[in-house]
Amino acid sequence: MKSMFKILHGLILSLLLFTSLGSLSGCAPATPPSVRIGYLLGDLHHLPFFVAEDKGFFAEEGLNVEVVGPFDAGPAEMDALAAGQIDMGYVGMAPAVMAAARKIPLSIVSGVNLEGSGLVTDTDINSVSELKSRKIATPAPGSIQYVMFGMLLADNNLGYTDIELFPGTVKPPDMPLSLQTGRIDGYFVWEPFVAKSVVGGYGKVLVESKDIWPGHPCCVIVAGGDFVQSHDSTVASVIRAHRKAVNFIATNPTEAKAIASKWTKLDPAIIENAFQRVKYTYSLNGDDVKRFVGEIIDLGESGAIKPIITVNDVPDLDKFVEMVVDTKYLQR
Amino acid sequence: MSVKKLIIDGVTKTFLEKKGGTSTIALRDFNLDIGEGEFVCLVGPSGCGKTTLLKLVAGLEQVSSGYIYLDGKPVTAPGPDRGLVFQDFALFPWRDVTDNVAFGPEVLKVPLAERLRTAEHCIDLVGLSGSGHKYPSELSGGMKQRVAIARALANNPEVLLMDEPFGSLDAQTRNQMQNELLRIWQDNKKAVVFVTHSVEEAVYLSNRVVVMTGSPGTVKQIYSVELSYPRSRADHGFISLREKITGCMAEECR
Amino acid sequence: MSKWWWIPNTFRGEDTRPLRLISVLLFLLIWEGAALLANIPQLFPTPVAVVVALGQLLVAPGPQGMVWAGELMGNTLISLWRVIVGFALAAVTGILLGIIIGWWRNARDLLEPVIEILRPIPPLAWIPLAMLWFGLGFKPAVFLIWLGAFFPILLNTVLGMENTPHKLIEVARTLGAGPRQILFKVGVPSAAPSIMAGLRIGIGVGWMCLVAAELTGSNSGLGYMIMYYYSTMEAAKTVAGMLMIGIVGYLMFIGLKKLEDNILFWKAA
Repeated sequence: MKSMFKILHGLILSLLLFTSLGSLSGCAPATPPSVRIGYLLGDLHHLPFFVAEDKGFFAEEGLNVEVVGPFDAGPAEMDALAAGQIDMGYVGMAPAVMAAARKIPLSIVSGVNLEGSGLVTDTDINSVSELKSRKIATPAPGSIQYVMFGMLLADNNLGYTDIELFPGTVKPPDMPLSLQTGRIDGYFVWEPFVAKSVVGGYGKVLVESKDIWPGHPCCVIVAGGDFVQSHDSTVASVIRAHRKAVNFIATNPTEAKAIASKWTKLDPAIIENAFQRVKYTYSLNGDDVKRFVGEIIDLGESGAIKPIITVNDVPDLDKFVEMVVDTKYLQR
Repeated sequence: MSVKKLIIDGVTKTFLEKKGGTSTIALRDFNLDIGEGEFVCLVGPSGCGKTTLLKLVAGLEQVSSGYIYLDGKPVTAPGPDRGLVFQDFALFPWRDVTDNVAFGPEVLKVPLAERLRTAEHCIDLVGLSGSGHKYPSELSGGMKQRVAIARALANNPEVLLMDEPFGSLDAQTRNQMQNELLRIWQDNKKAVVFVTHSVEEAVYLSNRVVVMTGSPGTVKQIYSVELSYPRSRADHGFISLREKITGCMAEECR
Repeated sequence: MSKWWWIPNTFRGEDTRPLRLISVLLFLLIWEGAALLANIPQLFPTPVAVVVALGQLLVAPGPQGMVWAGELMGNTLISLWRVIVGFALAAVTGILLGIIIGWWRNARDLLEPVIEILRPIPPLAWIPLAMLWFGLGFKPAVFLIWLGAFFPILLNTVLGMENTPHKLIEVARTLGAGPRQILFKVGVPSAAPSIMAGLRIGIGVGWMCLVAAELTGSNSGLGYMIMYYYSTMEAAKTVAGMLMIGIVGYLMFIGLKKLEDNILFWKAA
């Protein structure tokens, strides 16, 4: 009996010893991340984020960023924001306003890029009207590409029922391959997956997103509602780092492209081709947001797309934009 | 000399153990002749090969050496000329009584009308008239056995082989079935080879009782039962013969 | 509560219907409470919201080609059709192959290794291949459903055939049946209960593969509808779709059970 107690005593002691040693071995105490940021899969639009990470701009601001993702499409990222899995995110404007319309508390705090998406089709298609009854893939319904494709259809007097639309069923990285193998006849997606088909020679850019709405806002940085309230300075720091990154891309394009190639896992030649279609920015224009939401509502009503945001969701457009867009970080 | 219906000549059956490679001799040099319309019972201790012999005659097993002849022709495979009745009835549960009984003629490609008539006749014969549409799950043990017998008779076999057919019935049903069987046998005069544990049953039913030895199985002694039908179990001749046979099974054969 | 509450229901013979109703109501109440507490209606809808969504989905226009049926029923019919086709293919191939493998030793030795390797692979893992071989839409979805339903049907058929009682085969032989007759008149009927069980399991699995199947490049069907409304953050409609999947699955199960009871009426009365 006595020996058993001795053994037990020894076991407990060694257990305590090991656990204390364990906590000591991580010499420097692990800091919790100051902010969790999400981004989209292989999305060239999010290059400022990649640059800020790789060049240490976040670290310079004293931030410890946890990179979350990549997400397959904007709506999925917004779900994560709503569930509290990310604090901020690089995401398309459409999913951001859609989430806001669903009363998820968030703020759009910075622009990321303009334009930079495109409709890629088989080389034998020459006009949008030829897309009737063809198979076209886009990212998930609610993504900016889904909306812009709707705008394109509306401009050509078509509705989503005229097309064999596959929103959200083909992942963006698989879209070029699907086009090549003939599974789809076209797709509307973000760079660099537009360039991929072009460089590969089996697809052509029928329409660039800038042709639909010149200078249209594309991706933005959003921050969760409570995070903005409680971590105001963190948000400011993130945007400062973002600004640095945008400037860096302008002044060091070669290095920026290399970083892009690394994060998107695509060939430099493809990045080279894609780069010309994307305009990086940190500006944010409330009127652009307003126009965007208005477009989405109108497209839904006219039948160009299946309604995503309705007038019921956003009865007062101005108030909505005022609530959602927060430009104060742009000067800080 | 009457032509012997069934001739079992010097039959030996050896079973090879799958693992281990040892062999068991189930039957050794078994000899038995059965005449037309004879009722013969096989009795013996468990494992003496009674069932094996029945299966050999049925053609479900092959002899290791020796011969079996039915009506002068060698027996090599199962066939409709030898009907077999098992202890656990083995009725087809998804077929009703009529379809069970008609199974034999059905696989022999007998036309529908004719085989339904045959089935009906056999069902009447075993005393189950009107139960043709019932399913085995609705029948009692005794009724099921009657169906099994009717099924075996439907092909009009030359000999009926029965392997402890009443073993799973209660005593009362058993006695009933024994009388039924005698009635059917006296009606159609088929040769019957009947395997049983019960000496009393053997004496009650058969013309001859064959006592077998333990493994390897062979003929120990054959007794003729000269009593007239219907027999009485209380009869003096019945009792003494029963005791003789029981004694023979134990050790000494008088 | 009666003083004998601890005795299992099967021995009590009481009417348990009021208890079932209570449990459903309790479940709904807990759900409503939890949803209100979580307060993320975009991801966690209340039962009331789901019912409203069901109503909306019933009247909204249906998918292309089935506009008249309404969104909910239209997509349900589309999914149902895919499952029926996939299941029918699985039944035919599964039963046929099952009879062969269950009856002939050589066939089993030949095919068993391949089947045993393929079987544990979940249908989800086949999605990329399905899209590669069959493209988008109807075909890859049917393929995945076939895949899900095939193995239970095959395995149960094999089991049924293998478990054909020897006595019955012996009886059939003594009655003069040839090998082909024994196969079809003894083997297959004897395996029928097992085959029916396999079919019942098969359609269950096939229906469960539906969402996975419709991820393979569909743009219609219940599974697609669920993913669509997940994307547009209309969770109430998503859950309504899930509910529909559950209801239809349950109805199919009941239907097959009825069929089974009819075919297998000869089992112990």
